[in-house]
Amino acid sequence: MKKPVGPRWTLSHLLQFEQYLKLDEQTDSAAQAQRDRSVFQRLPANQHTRPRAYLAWLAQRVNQSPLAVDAGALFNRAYGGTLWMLLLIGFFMGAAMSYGALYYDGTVPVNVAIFLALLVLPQLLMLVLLVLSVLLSLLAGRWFSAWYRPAAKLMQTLLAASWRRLVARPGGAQQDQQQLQQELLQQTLGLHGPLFANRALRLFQVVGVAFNLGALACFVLLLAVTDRAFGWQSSLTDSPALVEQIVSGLAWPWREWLGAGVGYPSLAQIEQSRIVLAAQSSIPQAAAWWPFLLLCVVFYGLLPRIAVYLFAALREHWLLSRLSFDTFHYQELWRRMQSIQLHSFGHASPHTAEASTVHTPITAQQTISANAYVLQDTLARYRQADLIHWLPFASSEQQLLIIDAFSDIAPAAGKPIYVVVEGWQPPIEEVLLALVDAAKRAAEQHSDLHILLLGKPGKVGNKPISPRMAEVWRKKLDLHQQANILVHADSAQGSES
Amino acid sequence: MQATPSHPLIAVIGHPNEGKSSVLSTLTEDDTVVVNDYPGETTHCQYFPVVIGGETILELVDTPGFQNPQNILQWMQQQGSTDDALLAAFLAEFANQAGYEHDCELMQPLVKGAALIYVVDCSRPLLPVDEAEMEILRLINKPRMAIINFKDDDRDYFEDWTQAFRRHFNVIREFNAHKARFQERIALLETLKAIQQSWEPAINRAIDAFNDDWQNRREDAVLAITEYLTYALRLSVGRTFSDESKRREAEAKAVADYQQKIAQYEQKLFKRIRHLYHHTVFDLELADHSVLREDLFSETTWDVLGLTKKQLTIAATGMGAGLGVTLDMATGGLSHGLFAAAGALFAGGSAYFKGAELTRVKLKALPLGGTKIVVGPNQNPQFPVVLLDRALLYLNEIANHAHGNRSGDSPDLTDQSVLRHVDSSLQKQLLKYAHKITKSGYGELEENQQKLNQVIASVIGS
Repeated sequence: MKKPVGPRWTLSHLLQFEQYLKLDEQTDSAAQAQRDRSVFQRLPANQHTRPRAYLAWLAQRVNQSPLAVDAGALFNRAYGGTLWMLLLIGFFMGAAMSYGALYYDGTVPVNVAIFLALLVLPQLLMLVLLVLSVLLSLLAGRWFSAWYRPAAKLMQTLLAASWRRLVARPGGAQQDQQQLQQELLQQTLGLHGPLFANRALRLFQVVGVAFNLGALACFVLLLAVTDRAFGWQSSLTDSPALVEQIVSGLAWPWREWLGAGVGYPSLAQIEQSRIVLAAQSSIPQAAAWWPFLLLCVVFYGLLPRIAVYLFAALREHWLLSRLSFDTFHYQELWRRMQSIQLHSFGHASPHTAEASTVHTPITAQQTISANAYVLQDTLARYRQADLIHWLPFASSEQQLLIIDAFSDIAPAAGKPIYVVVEGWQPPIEEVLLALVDAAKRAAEQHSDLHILLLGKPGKVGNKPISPRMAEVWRKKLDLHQQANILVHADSAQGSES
Repeated sequence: MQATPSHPLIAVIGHPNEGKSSVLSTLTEDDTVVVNDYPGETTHCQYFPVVIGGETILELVDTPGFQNPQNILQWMQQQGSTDDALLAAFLAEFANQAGYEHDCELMQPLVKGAALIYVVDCSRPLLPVDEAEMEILRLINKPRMAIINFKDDDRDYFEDWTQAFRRHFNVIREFNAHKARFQERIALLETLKAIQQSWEPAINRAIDAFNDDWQNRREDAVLAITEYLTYALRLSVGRTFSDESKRREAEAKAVADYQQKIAQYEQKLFKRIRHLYHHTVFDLELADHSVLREDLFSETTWDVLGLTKKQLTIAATGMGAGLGVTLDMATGGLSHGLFAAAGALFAGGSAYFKGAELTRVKLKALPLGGTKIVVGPNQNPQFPVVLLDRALLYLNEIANHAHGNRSGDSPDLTDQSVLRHVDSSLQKQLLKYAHKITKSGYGELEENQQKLNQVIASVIGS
């Protein structure tokens, strides 16, 4: 069952989004434009922003074309699994470290300096480093922008490993998904590196919280079921006043609230809880330290981790709400969404061109053996002398018989008839019918009708007829199936008969 | 009479083989239209609706040519009627008469209230049949205009035609269906408004849609080209070998693999451009002497396209100086322009001496033995220029190829480079962002792609 896309962007949505964009690279752009345009047009006008439109687009894609390997779901699963694993590891690590720091065999009290050095100071140091790095990246983002890359890379590795496992599973997606996975993860992390680094930051805080919870749980448990003595000892100082200053400083967050003696040991309690080996067998204020230690872990370990976790969670929310999708990578989808649906193609015609199954009989080229007919109208465009000269088979003695219409052609028994026709244009039906009619009359006299096609007249000279146009004439005449028609052309290539 | 459609309906009418289908094919950018010099290919009317957002706002109709104009005119002149009555009478008389099928079919859109565009090839003499056709249209008396479609460049008879048109048409326009570019198509659509004033809003909508669509296509093409350049500029191909004797073979394979990958992407880009401009059905052939027929990595391509040595050196020097200035600023000016000078010298020198280098091969020793041959990313400043030049050349050919023209005509093949003729500042920016894309990580890549995209858009617009 696919989880529907919610009303806000999430990291898993970003991965799904990139995955669908990647898939679109392999499909037809016209169909994509149609699909994406319709998503955009269905949105209310107040949602015509890229984040809104893209989220709606993603929701439609998830509904209509579910992914075989869903990178978003995979991310959620990988993140969830890692989270629980780190929670357990952190908890047990904290508990183990706390147990070690609170080791007490009844002879030497628990040294608070060791406890602080193991459980509080490293966390304090990490907190300071984190704050510094965040400040530096805010102040000079360009120079320190690389700080989040290892974290982002960690997320990539995590996801890639999950993906590989899924693909390797029987029934999983094809191996060619590997390439897609690599490109997809690189691209998503490249585009949204800070977001994924932020998620890694949250993951680290979860470890920290679990660590401190483990430490506190162990501490409280040991206090509840055992009687532990606490004292202090140091080679660097033996001054209780200095220790009191340090302790008071560390207890600053809760000093006003709980006060000396409860929230942290008072000077007198510090003096009386110093461990001096072999000098005393018991420490009068051995129990004065534990509330202070507990609060140190809470205030310097647990609470900062929770605070950073909440900060990272809010920052993620903020970054997601500020996604603009206006970079180069997202332009194509936006363009498709805003494209106009313009179509001007013709409806496919079911009709086919006319064709004949019979070809006009063709005879070999021959010399003109009689006078040739020509229309009066044709002579208006060609000079007679030119025509005679131009006809390749004519002798100079021959004359042209000028007629007004092809119906004026008068066939004589057994004699071929020559008709000069302007052949530079395709024949239309009324011309063909007139010629066919003349041919029929010639057939009655056992004569053939020779059509001599002329090329296009020009002001400076005539152009030969193209072989293609001669072929058009022949084909058109074929349709009338008049056996005694022969076609000749004046083309430079010779007769087209 | 049949129901009149609510949108403008315009029938393209004329003598057979005058280029009616070519005009329609070019005007609607539909290369599925049968364009052939064998008359009779158009035996029935074909409708070309212009649909915007699912709504038909304009419809053009391709019709068969007149077959019996003189006979029809003779008959019409005997009727003593005109306009729709004459049209109805004609159809009643000739609907079932053999030989008049085409004439009846071409009248069908006029029955539905279509205006008409009369298409003629004015490179030929005016004939009595043409006079008859124009007279028939005058008698039927529909809103009409004439399109002069020169099939040849011959203008000997133009004056005769102009005289004849003046007697029959108010609106006359030249339109070469084989050469018309987008602007000419839009100009023709603009002219249609003059046929019937009430159609102006619909035709304006169509023109706006065509304009927007054209602009969108251009931007889509620029995006596609930027993606292609990004891929090619960042591509590297590796191949390992352990035996020194196999080094040459490994090198050759790595280079071939590298070049093949870019060539394949280029073909993908070309296909995308063809789709964008609707050249999808007809297999458009490139002109005989087009450098696009040459292999991308052939010496001819690199000779004909790209910047000249001088241009390349100047642009690279400017680009190098620009990068150096950034470093000078980072030092707060303490370097006194040293980085700028060094950058200019280095980039200019590299361009001058390595501008002709097609593909460079690098060798890397592997930690566990063996050597890796790495081809790319290509650092040659001429590389993005040649790639872009080819892409732009192809884009120009496709975008300006009229759909009615089914040959590979290319008007000017003397100087095929586009980038040699653009402003030197654009050449410099091109080199700058191409260089940055080659080097940048994912964070900066987006920004540099955006910049390169703008440069390419400016080149096309210039």
